[in-house]
Amino acid sequence: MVQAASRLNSVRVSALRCGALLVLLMGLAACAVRPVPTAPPEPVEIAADSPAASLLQAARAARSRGDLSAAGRYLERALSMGRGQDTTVLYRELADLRLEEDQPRAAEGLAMRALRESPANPAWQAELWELVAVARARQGDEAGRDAARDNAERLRAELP
Amino acid sequence: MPKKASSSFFSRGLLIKATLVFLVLLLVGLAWLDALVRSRFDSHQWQLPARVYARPVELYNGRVLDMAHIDRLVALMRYREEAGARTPGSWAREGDSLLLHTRGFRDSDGGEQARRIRLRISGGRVAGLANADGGAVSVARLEPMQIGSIHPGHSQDRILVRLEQTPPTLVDMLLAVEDRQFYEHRGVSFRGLARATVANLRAGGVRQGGSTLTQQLVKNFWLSRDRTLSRKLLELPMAVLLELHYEKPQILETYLNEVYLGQDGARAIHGMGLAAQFYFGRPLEELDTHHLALLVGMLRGPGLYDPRRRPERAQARRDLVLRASHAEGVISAAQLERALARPLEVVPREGGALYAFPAFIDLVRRQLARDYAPAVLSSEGLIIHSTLDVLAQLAAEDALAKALEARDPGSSNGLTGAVVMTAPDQGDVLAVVGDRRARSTGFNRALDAVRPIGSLAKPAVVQTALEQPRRYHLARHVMDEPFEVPLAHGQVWAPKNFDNESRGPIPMLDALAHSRNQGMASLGMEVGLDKVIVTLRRLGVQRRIPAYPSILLGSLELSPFEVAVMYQPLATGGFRTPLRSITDVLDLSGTPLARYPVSADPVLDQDAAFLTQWSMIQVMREGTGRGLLGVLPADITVAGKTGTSDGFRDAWFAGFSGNHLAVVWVGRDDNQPAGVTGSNAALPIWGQVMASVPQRTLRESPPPGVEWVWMDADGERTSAEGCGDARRYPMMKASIPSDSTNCGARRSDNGGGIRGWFRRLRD
Repeated sequence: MVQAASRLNSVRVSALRCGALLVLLMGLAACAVRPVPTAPPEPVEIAADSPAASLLQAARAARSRGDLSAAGRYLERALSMGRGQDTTVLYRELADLRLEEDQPRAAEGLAMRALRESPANPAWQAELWELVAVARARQGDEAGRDAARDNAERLRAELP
Repeated sequence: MPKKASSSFFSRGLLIKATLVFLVLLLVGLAWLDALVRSRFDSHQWQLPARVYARPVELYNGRVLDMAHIDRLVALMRYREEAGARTPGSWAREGDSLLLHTRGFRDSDGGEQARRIRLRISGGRVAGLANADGGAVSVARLEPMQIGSIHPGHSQDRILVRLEQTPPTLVDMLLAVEDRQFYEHRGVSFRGLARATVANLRAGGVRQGGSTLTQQLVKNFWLSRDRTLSRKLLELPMAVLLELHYEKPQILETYLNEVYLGQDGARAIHGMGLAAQFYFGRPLEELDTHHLALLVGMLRGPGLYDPRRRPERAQARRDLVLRASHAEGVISAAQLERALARPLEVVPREGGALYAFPAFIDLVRRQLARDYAPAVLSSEGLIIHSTLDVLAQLAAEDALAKALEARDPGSSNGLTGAVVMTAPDQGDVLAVVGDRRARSTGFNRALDAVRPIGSLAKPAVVQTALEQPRRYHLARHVMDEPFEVPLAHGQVWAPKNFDNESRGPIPMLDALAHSRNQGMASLGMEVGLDKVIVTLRRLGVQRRIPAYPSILLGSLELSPFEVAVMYQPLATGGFRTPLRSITDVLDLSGTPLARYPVSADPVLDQDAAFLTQWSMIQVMREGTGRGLLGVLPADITVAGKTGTSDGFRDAWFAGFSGNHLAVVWVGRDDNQPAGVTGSNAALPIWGQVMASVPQRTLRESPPPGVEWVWMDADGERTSAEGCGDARRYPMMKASIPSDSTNCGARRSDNGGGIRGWFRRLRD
């Protein structure tokens, strides 16, 4: 929460600075300075041939047939063998599952954990902030929801 | 009833009356017996203790696993080496690969079928995994080892087996020896009785029972074990009644599960299923003829024919059963010959996984007790999937025992210790060692040795400071010099360094890395004792924390397990994930009852938590943990902290990689000086424990709010690479000073020059 609010602040500050910069340079120079990605970032996913991928698939299948405890077990097993960016995918999946299990508080924590493990991928991070927003809204935390939404917006603004 | 005067004692009327009364009583008695038999049999619930299983070993490409691991696993799981691995519970070597025929099990995700898999191991890893009959396999699990059962209150233990799971040879041999007319009689066999009577008359005493299986079951189920006439009188009608109401297979199945087959301390071994595990370490389905014959033979006297205490007598009895079975046509002459040639093959009581990990089971028991009533645990046959990693546990036991034996041979100085290992991502407790003799069921130091944690408290001080980024960063100087804090009652607290020297102003990072007491204590006092206590709480310390300055240097007392809880958020970059020893609880039929899911609660500022973690990495690189360099692979980054209590009584090391966290404590039970320090006693054990499990490196990529900055040695100005004693630190953005030495072109890695100026504008 505190962190989200401070991020919100920094968003405002950087907006102000960016505005000043635009006036200063009377042009689009500022945007040229910005590290503009030339292509959309790689999608964040688990390597298809990894053992975690087959468990993730099994978890999704279990979830779609309504077997949530099996889905949870598959995901946790995958987590113990995950590598690299696998963890952010698996925490997000766990967060989704907790939402479905009507455990929004747990979902929020897991989504935050997914964010911490996330690569520098604004599209992915924006989706995670949206998940945080939903989880917060379900807990009746409207200010928290808005802060998370703003983070998601800001990240999407970085996309080409 | 007509009334007719009669003076004759033997009058017919009276006789009739008496007969009628007798018949009525008999009928009432029979009805009562019938109700007794039916109610008990219908409502019978086996007393089945909850069974605790270790984490199943997962097999997948790339998993760290070598032949030593495999050898250990097949021995623990009692796999037989068998060409082609045709039956569950067997394995074989074929060229450069292994065949494993797993046994299958139930789990919340459905579990696994028994399957034959081909495994290739190369370079200490799984290099290939496939179905033995073709087809790729992504992940396969070995069945989990049973590590304990929970039976408080009563002492019967059994593993329920269904008749269809029971080897037909067992049933045939049982009937050949105990009740040849089982399928013909109606509960009582007069032929059998007559034969037994003749045999007993010849022998001049009671040698043969002549009881049918049904009678034996009645005896075990409803009647006391002593051979009295009244018991015999009840046994007959009850056996007949039982046969009247129930089918033969039902009676047989109940018999197979009820029979008493031995004693393991206070635990009574009931039923063929448990007996198979108890004597042969394997499921009943996997036993061979000679094993089954021994079980059948033991029915007559489990103590008398105990194969562990009286192997010769047991073998003679087994051979008798084998011959009788051959005589009855149950087994062929060739089978008989093969079986007679086999030794008893009884496994020693020790050496398996069951009851081998008392410290861990102790933890499971405590966690279960929160959610389940003792009666449920002792009777409903729950399946408990725990988090124990058997290979990690054995490695941790080994590392502790070897290191303590080297330091204190034969325990002559009373040096002991404890280890806790967890997987921070899931909060799984992987190993718990509560004694240098790990099989000892005594004092569980991992959970119950509550000792001063020494410098393990220091990361909490650092974290507290860093959460005020405008005031503190890792380059900022702290004063490593003598100072005093006045306490109540005129006392004074004056912390000293281990080397009795003071280094003056040093960066906060160095104060932590080199565990400078005065530097860290002065920082803690400046930050505020109350704030440090709040941080300790957020880290998960639940004990009362006295508000004394000495807690900054670890006068706080915790158990090794509590330290593992406290270090969990430091390992995960600020998330609290409650430690769990149980993941799933299933009922007897394998239906999931409860899950203990992974959770993650952000409890620390994540940017600050990254810096704290990074400073603990520096402990390993250049501080009190550097003695470990070379023990772990160079590409695995780890972080940790040493701890030593006053008088060298307690030595601690707590640290983590990307996927494992371990806490080691070494000291004496009587709390006397033990001459140990975190670096010299606990750290080497920690290194061995961590080196024995597959490690993932800690990531050093900072969260968005942290940047790498070159700082001048004064800790107050930014600098640049190659300028004087400039050092590179991760800094929270709010911490980066505006003053610069103006040395070099770059202010920070991503912030120098024109680009940096634009960047600063944007940020």
